[in-house]
Amino acid sequence: MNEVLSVRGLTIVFPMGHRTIRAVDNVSFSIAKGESIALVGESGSGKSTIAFALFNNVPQPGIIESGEIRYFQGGNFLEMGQASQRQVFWEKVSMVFQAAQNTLNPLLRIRRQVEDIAQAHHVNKKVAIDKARELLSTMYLDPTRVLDAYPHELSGGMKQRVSIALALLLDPEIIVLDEPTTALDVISQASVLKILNEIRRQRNISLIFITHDISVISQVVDRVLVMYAGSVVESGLVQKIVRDPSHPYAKGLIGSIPPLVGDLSDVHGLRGNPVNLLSLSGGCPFADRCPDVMTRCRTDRPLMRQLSTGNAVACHLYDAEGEEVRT
Amino acid sequence: MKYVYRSIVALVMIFVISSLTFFLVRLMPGDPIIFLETQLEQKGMTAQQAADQIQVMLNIIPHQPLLEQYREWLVQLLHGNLGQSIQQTGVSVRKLIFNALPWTLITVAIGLLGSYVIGIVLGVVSAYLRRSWVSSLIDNVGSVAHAVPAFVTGIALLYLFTVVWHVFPSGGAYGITVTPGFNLPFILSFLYHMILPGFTYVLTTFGSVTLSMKSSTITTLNEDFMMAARIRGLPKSKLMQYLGSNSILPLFTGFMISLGVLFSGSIFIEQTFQFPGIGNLLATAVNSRDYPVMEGCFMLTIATVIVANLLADVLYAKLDPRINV
Ligand SMILES: Nc1ncnc2c1ncn2[C@@H]1O[C@H](COP(=O)(O)OP(=O)(O)OP(=O)(O)O)[C@@H](O)[C@H]1O
Ligand SMILES: [Mg+2]
Repeated sequence: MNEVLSVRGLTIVFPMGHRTIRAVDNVSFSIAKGESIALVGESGSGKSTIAFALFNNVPQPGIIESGEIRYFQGGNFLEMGQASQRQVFWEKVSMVFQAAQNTLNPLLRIRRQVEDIAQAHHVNKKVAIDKARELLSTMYLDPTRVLDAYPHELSGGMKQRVSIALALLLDPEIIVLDEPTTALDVISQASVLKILNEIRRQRNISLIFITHDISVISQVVDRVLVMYAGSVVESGLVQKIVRDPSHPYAKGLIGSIPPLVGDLSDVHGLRGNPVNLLSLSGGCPFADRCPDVMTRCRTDRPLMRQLSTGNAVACHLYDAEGEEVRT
Repeated sequence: MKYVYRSIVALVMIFVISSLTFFLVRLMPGDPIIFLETQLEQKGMTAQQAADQIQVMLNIIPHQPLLEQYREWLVQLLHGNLGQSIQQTGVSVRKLIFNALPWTLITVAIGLLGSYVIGIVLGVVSAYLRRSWVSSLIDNVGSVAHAVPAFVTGIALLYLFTVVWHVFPSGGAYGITVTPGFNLPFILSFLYHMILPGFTYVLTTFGSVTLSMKSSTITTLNEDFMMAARIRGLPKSKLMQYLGSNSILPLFTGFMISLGVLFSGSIFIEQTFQFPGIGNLLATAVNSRDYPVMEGCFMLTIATVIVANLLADVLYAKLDPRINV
């Protein structure tokens, strides 16, 4: 397996006054060349924070407490100098930001911003603009109009597609897509995802999707990591996770998505409120909301176990099955 | 088209407010015109001579209905005639203003420029070091400088630099040995004389600029597009460009408006340093009830404020694509 990214034991904290929020807690995963994975979890589970950590750019006042990030089986990215990090940025790894609405400089036309990226990476400006034109038209945008527009002259959905085009501009090997289709209607969602998947096939690039809605991306990803309160609670192939989730949280998450056809009474929501990261104690973070909670769950943190189904899960319900995964 | 409309509105505003100065003087208690007439007659003029003299000075014909007076005044104003000084007999108000204006303009321009350069630099430094003591030092110095009134700062500087240390001259715009004109000794002498007043402008203005620049820089630093620009691998110089243009922009309107407002702020400073500018001219006119000169100074201030506002709007729309005038 040709590994393009490996994340080991990533822990990110936000010091808030005298308490500390553990937004990402000992997360490990890796992605192979040409593979497409998804980080799935409800709001606040730490997905975007992981994405920013991949660029060593967690928002203030966040601190990467521990962990390693290796691109292309190289050294620990987090310990590299700024110059070496900048060589990875955008040329090797790019990102479609969750806040795509505000990620363009409001004072410059899109054309200038494309040129600025080109210049920063020693790409001929004209070549970059031609490339941008091509990408914008595959995104169903009028290239000339968009290039000559200021960000405020574009709609939310247009900006999101511009953001995807910019992420593809330098032919990166990995693209992180943080809720890339939230501003798009259902039809555009499907077509944009289809284009991304085609580009992945053609260029054999790796995609990391970040979403709270697994149904949208289940057609275009190979593997899924389900996150809860900063930890990965279950991971496995997308079909396995969607059809046969093991973790009670994953069951709830997948059960809470209304089917396009069928009876709405089949929809089960998750009980309780989203986790409060300030009130986490030693046990399983999901214990308070878990329908199958046991005494052990309140005191012992469950470890990742590889099940016979192929999924890995961190839950005491499966303590008797499979074997522990070392992270 | 929009600009034409805005300019017309500005002109109308200047006209209306200038007219107000006319009525204001007319409506002051103890009718100034009668007072002046009596004064002139006491000096030995006949009633006719006094009336003629008043017409020359104030551009009105006394004892006519108010509207008639206003009409006459307007006609003269449109011909560029602002009347004559009461105190300095025979000198036109226009000449007094033109003599005083260059001193104020140059000093204010240098003072404003200096305070904005210093304020912007300090604001950016304070924003970058916002968790360190340097930042709170800068903020406190800025707040104090901003809070102390101009005349206090002026007097303190005057005392320190002319009484305690005899470093700078205590008044005037140039030394008695030089001849005004485009020659080096004069220019040097002028610069030497304007250091204290100019420095007072800087000291009273840079504080608020520093504080606005700091908050605007922090706001921009936290914007998503700055984070995106970093992740897109833009070099430091480009990031600074993005940061600079976006955080200086909100200060622009304030800058343009202070261009106009500093004309009135100059009263205190120019009086303190006996600097022969517009502020001093106005203060002297007020003290000696020189109504034509007062009217002239008011109209000048009004016109600059309104024009500066208009320019601010027009230029802002050019700088910020999001604004449509
Ligand atoms: N700038 C910040 N300051 C303080 N805490 C933060 C900050 N950013 C994130 N956090 C904390 O990290 C947690 C995870 O945030 P993150 O943005 O990664 O969630 P997410 O999974 O991307 O959620 P969403 O689906 O809403 O985008 C949040 O619950 C919050 O407590
Ligand atoms: Mg997020």
